[in-house]
Amino acid sequence: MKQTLFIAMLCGSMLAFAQQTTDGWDIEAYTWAEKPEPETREWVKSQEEAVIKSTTLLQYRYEDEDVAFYELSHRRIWIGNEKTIESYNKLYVPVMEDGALRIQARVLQPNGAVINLDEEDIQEGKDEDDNTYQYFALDGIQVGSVVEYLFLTKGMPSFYGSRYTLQRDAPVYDLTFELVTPGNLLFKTKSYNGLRQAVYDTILEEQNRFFIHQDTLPKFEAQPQAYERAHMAYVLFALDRNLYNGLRDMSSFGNAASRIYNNLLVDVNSKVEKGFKRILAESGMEDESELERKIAAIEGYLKEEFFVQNAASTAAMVDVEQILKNKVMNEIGCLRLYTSLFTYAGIENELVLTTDRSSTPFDPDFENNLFLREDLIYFPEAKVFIAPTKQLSRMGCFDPDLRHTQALFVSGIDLGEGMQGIGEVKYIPPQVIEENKSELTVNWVLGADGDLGNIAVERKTYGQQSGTNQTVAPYVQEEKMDEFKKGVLKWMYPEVEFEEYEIENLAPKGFPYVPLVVRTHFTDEVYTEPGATSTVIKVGDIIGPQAEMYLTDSVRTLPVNHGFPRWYHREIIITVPDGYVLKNTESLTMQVRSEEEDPTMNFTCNYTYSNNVLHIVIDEWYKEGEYPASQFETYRAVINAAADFNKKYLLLEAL
Amino acid sequence: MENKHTQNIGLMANSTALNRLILAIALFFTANTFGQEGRTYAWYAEHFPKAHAVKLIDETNIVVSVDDEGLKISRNLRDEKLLLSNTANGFKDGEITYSSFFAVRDIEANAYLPKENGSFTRKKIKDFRTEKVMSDHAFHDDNMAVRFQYPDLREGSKIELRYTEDILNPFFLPPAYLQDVYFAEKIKVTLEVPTNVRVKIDLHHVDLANVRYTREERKGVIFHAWELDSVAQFESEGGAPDPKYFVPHVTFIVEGYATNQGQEVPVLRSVADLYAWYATLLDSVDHALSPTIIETIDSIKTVHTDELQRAKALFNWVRASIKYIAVEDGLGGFIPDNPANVTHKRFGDCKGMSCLLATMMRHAGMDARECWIGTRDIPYSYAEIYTPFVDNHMITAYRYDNRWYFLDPTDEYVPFGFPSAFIQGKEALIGLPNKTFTLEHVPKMAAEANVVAVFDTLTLLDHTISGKAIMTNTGYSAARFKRLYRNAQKKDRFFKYFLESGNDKFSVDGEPVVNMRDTIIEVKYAYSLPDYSKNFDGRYFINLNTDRILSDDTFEDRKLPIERDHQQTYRFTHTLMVPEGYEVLALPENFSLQNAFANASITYTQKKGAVVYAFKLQLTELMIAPENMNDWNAMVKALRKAYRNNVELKKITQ
Repeated sequence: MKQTLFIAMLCGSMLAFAQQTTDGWDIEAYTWAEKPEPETREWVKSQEEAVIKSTTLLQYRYEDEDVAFYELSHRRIWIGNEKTIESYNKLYVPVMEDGALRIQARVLQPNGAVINLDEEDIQEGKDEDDNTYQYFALDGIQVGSVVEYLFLTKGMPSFYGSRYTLQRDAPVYDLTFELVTPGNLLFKTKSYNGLRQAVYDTILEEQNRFFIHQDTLPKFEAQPQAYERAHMAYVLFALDRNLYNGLRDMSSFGNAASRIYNNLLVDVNSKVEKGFKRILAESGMEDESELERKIAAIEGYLKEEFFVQNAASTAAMVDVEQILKNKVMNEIGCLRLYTSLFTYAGIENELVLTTDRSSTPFDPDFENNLFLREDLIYFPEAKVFIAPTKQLSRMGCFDPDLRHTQALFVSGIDLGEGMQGIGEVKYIPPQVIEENKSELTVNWVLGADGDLGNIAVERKTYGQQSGTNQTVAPYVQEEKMDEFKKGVLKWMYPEVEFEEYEIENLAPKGFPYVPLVVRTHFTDEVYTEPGATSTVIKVGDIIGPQAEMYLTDSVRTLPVNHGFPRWYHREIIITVPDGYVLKNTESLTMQVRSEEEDPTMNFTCNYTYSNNVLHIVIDEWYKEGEYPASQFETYRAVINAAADFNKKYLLLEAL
Repeated sequence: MENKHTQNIGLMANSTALNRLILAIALFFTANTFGQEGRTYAWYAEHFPKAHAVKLIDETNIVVSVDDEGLKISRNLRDEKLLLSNTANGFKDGEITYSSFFAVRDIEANAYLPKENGSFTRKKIKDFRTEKVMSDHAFHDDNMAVRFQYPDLREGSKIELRYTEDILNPFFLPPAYLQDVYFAEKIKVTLEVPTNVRVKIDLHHVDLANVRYTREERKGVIFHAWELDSVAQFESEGGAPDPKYFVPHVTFIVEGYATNQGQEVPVLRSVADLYAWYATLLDSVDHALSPTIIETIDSIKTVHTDELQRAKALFNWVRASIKYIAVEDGLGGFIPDNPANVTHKRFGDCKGMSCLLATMMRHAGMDARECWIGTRDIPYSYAEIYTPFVDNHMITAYRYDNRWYFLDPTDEYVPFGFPSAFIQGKEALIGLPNKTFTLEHVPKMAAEANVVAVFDTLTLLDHTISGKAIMTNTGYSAARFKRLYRNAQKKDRFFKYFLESGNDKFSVDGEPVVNMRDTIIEVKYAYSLPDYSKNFDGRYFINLNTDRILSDDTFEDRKLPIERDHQQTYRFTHTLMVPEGYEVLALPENFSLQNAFANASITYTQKKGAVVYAFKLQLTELMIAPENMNDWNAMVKALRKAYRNNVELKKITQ
């Protein structure tokens, strides 16, 4: 959810009381030491990179008729190796149109010489997205230098939720964070992941000040398949009260729910109604009997016919009547169209707002609007979710980082004064493995007398296991279509030349209920290998290359992220020519699973062998999208079991 | 690598043409049809169902004139697109970028929004912002952009952009392209040049059968026109060389002109004129070195007595001490920074770094020169194109014992004596004393110079192989090793994946010993490879083809060549120790193959108590042409077949 939905409130609530004194603590008074201190601590100097001072000061203050926001960053960096030079010899400062208020930088060389940044060397330019930067290259950095910079910039004030990440992939020493606001604007803060909680300070009379000081924040150690941003030390803050007008809980979910609800109300006039009727008729929802399928039909139709784009909220982008005509809309326009259309169709729906848990996980105890940046729609009767603004997603199959998380569910209620929005925090469960199933069937006829065999493969994938192949297909250029289709299976059999190649349901219609089916067959030039007396059958490779985690870090502290819950069911049927026998079949049996009665992670392989037919059945599943660090070794064992299967072999021998 | 003020094909989307008269007529007719044949939106939508846009008109009109102030060149550009999909609004951001060698004026942009009756509402864009933009390839350059937005675009809308670009320096008259990334209904390039101006015109990859060329002379002005209809979109392919190698285009070189007073003024008559200009720019460089740098040179001279060793030490000193940061700022994009500035800042661009190295080497008494060169992205020779579009890079050329060494100090890892890989085979323009120059070809480094070799001894224990190995990387392979090794976050992961062979259960035992010399890097290590050998019922099956190079590298329906970074040799020699009590059953057949771009062999030899497997593959070309793709695929298939073979050992029965 973009900030646009919340802007209306700001103007009414604060500006009427804008004529405040600007005396008191002033961020602009902060300066750095005239002479930089050399780094003498051996335990610092032995490191490749260390942030030896990190000061972040933020100030909200009244200026003219507005609230202004200032940010000051002062850092000193120990440069311990060549790579670190490259991280700091070019620095970029995001600025507003008028540029930074202050940019200072200097290099303290190992011999004690100080090279100051020359103001003339500061360049300014815009990036592709129209963001302005001031940037410069720093002269004279060598290993053993201390780079120091101080930036003071003015920014867009954000009131209802901000995040500052204070941890780095280098240790931070002498960390200071301060937030100073006018006396009437009371903020709240909360720190995460090992950062101290901010202290409210009463030193300033007419201003509020929160501060954090911490001597050491260790280097953030990334771990495979673990989220980084979610686990780094950060602080959140949001406006809580305005003492001058008595407003409280200003960043609360309740406030947000009511505002957003009002913002999405649509006047269904006769033109809109006509448009809605046409959509419902053309979507094919009438042909469906189940509610869930009706919803999916409408969603599929809207996603193919209407386009969501990143654009300002002009009338053309948010007014449903115009959207129906032009078929383009921005995010707000999209939510208006979907919610009003489903309501019109008599399908109860709730707007759901949440956060990407890979970045800033939802914390119900710290209400603010940062947790409301992603939007979904929930249908309580069918108990399903859709992601309306994600063009390539369909029914339940959207970014798994928006599931297995708390969220704000917004619905309307009539308390006698017309409909009003109310919010409730509830859980969005992960998908179940049946929704994301992959079925592989291999029919393998082995050749006799050194002849090459034949392999027929059928792969059916449901939901997220099909990736976005079905929803992307309409956008693939005709010339690239063949390559695109082959790509669905090529990764599994990279050395094979498919002799026939059939693909079914490569279209968004029916997704995610209709599987993407690929059928092919090929001469086996890769999976059997001749020896002197017998032929080696590389049965393990026939399921395609599997991910492995053989090498791992000794200490696992972060949860492991697995994406969406999934299930692989594989059957390999091998026909043995007359006069031959397969050996080493007993090595195929495998069972690696988590300990629960109904295991959340599983890899099993069983087989039967009779009448010249070997029938292997493999089931592998992961019921959760995330496993705690305590289950990491089990997770790793199951992942590696699949990779171990890749090494399975059989021997074909003449009787 | 730098790209000085040359416009690449990516800009074609913006480089459009203007012809007011034609436009007025076109607008009149484009109420509901487009193009010459009355093609409607429905026609395009049907014929290009998945295209986001087609170009209706793409015109470049170059006007050259001479007035009392001298030569004037401008380009009138016009571009009109029809947007075919509901992603139309993706075209909303209009942009014209240009460097300080150009000025942009008379911009007109219009959006045409379709009405239900088939006609259009024209929305004229009024708000144009001129902004300094950040470079997408250099740290800093002098590029400016005029930015604007087309409002409310939707499927069936048209966008039109016309403007005039004044070429402020005749050296920088850009090429005109006759193909685009969109289907184009019409592409037209015209050149109006007075008879007193000499312009060299070259056509590149132009199929004359498809182009209508006309030449007319009226009132002392020659009008050239190249016109194409229904031009298919250019399809890129992964791994192909720069589009300039295939896309039809016209280049123009203003060689000289006569003033209105009849005086001959040369501009660019040959590479000598281009060099003369470069040499003038070099004159403004202060080559003085700081006392500390002179000390550095002296100490290197003291340590090394051999001249080549000194040259290498200086090359390595510049690479280690100066970080590469690209800057292209107007003429500054062509003039090297003073060597003393570069050493003070400890960073520089290719010009600054190569000029510093040349100056230091000369100070040490060596024959080192500033050298201009185009990277492999540029297909032209200096004889063909003698404008700044022919090169985009500077290096140091050093002559020793009648051989030129092409030293690129911006390449941190390449061994001394090797050019950076991306200038192999290119022509180098080397500045010599007294404003003379020479053109020399940079060598393509032979496959033998770039080797990845593994020699190891394999011991079998049930399903696990233990190996003791020495890996050798030379030339560009050594450079690759250094780059990956230095940038690896975790060394254990680096070694596992760099050394991995056989299968992904491969693990390195203990810490590998790395001996890093300049051109050769040797890694000694021990490893375990579980679940690779098959031990069953008194027999071992071992596939000694543990690395299967190229086995999944076939190409279907390839239309463009494949460019390789460098020529390469792979050599793997496995000595498999036969366990005591086992004998070798028949060995697989030996294999060999040779074609125009590669040779390969696999041999199996039985020695006392061991089987020796030797694999060698050499890729001996930098470019594989599409007509060679069948041979390539046949080679890969033959390799795959050879890779299937197992060595079988059997327990000796007493």
